[in-house]
Amino acid sequence: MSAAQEETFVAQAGSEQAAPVAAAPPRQWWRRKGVTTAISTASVIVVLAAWQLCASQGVVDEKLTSSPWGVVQAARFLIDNGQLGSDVASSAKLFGVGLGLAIVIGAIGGVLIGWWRLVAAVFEPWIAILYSMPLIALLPLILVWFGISFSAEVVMVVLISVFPVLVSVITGTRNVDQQLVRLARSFCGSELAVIRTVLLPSLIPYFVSGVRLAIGSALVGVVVSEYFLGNGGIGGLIVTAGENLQSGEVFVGITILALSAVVMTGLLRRAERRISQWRNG
Amino acid sequence: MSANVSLTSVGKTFAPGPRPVLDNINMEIYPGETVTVIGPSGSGKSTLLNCIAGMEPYSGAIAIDGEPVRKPRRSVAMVFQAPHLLPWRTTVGNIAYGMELQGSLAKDDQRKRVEDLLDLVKLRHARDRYPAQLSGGMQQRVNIARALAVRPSVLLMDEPFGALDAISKEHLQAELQGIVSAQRLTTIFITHDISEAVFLGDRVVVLSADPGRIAAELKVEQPRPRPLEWKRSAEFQEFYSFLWKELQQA
Repeated sequence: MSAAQEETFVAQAGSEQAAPVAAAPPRQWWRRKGVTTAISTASVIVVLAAWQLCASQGVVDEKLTSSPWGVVQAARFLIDNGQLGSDVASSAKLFGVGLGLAIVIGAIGGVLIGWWRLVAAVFEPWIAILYSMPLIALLPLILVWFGISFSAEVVMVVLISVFPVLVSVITGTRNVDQQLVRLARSFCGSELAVIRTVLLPSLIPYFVSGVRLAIGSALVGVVVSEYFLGNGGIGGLIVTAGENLQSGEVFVGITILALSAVVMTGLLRRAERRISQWRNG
Repeated sequence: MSANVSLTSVGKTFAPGPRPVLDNINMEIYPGETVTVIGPSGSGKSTLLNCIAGMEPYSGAIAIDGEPVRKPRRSVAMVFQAPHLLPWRTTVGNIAYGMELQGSLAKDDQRKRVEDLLDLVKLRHARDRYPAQLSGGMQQRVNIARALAVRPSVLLMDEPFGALDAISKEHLQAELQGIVSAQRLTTIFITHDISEAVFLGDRVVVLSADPGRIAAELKVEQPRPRPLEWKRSAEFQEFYSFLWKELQQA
């Protein structure tokens, strides 16, 4: 729009001031929900198709890049010989135990540290150090202390995934509505009652976003510890397949990791929306 | 008749400043009486109320039913200026909240009391709504019902209608007066609105600012409950202008 056009446009708008407020302009067609979903789906399909095409036309070396169809065949092979089932089970066990411990430790620790200044003074420097350093650097130490064992793997997963929950819950605890705390105290509410009725419900969104981050971190922890501490599970599958130039099997492992992360965070978001219905008024 | 709430040379100084916020406050409030406290901002009205509620340390002596106040008491309920409702609880849950914290009542009795209060504060139609779905006036009704639910012998109110529009405010003033008179509640009501102070109070106490001292006291000899029309009477105007002049000097 040129400056002159813009001027006439403004003038017209001014002359129409007496008219009632105009309705919201119609939304652009590409903003509708169905359309955006269709575009997203198409995006995935196009990339997969291009991958398949490049591989089958010899543009890239299928041995190195595999192809969507190659991945499906590799998955079928791994399912048939039972390896995929046992790898997934062993990774899921590690993930579940590690993340579960991280959530429990993070939530309880976060409330204690966020609520009582004295506890915070003791633990905060350690959190600051550990949360900002690459924890993977501790892997050799864990190996020395725990050996190649399930507990070593669990320690690694907990170490990597506890901080998102912990830090998020600490922040939430500090941000609790002090007016509500005062109110509860004015009704002679005990410390425990204040925590239970005011703090815990208001922590839910912080807790959920902490867990969401922790899911991603725990997956990293699972893969890393499987790479280095025993070569089991999905991480082990990926490492071994990589060493044997089975790129199809590598992608099977990667796909499983990606899908499980997406599905878990999606489920979590849905659960949170259900819990926090009051928010929408 | 012995006083329900008595304050003897109560003072309060916040740490860094040498000047007291409250200085030598003496008051006797008798059972069933409503005392409104009015004063310019900075006169320590809210601080005074917090001290009586046992939520802030003070010098001097405050006694409720003859016992010194050092921490919040079950027989005292506080209504803050903002409704401070738990956003994740419905009207019913919020009204029950104070009772729940005090824990002196069985669940069934709590439920019965909430039902009675829903009618009293005219919120039956909104019983299952969350605070985000209530208007400001309705939220303040829940706030008041929550305080009434614990059957306090003393009700402390800190400018509860300060943030409401003029019409909701008058309605709530009239309703509150009806409830307080019917239950013969001892009430201390903080406000910066002269007409509210006169309309609700058996007695109006004027606080001066910096330091907060009692500058004047006015007895409003008019039986309660008072109709809203009384606000338009000549007598009311007289009380009003007396307090207005006092506040100019405070």
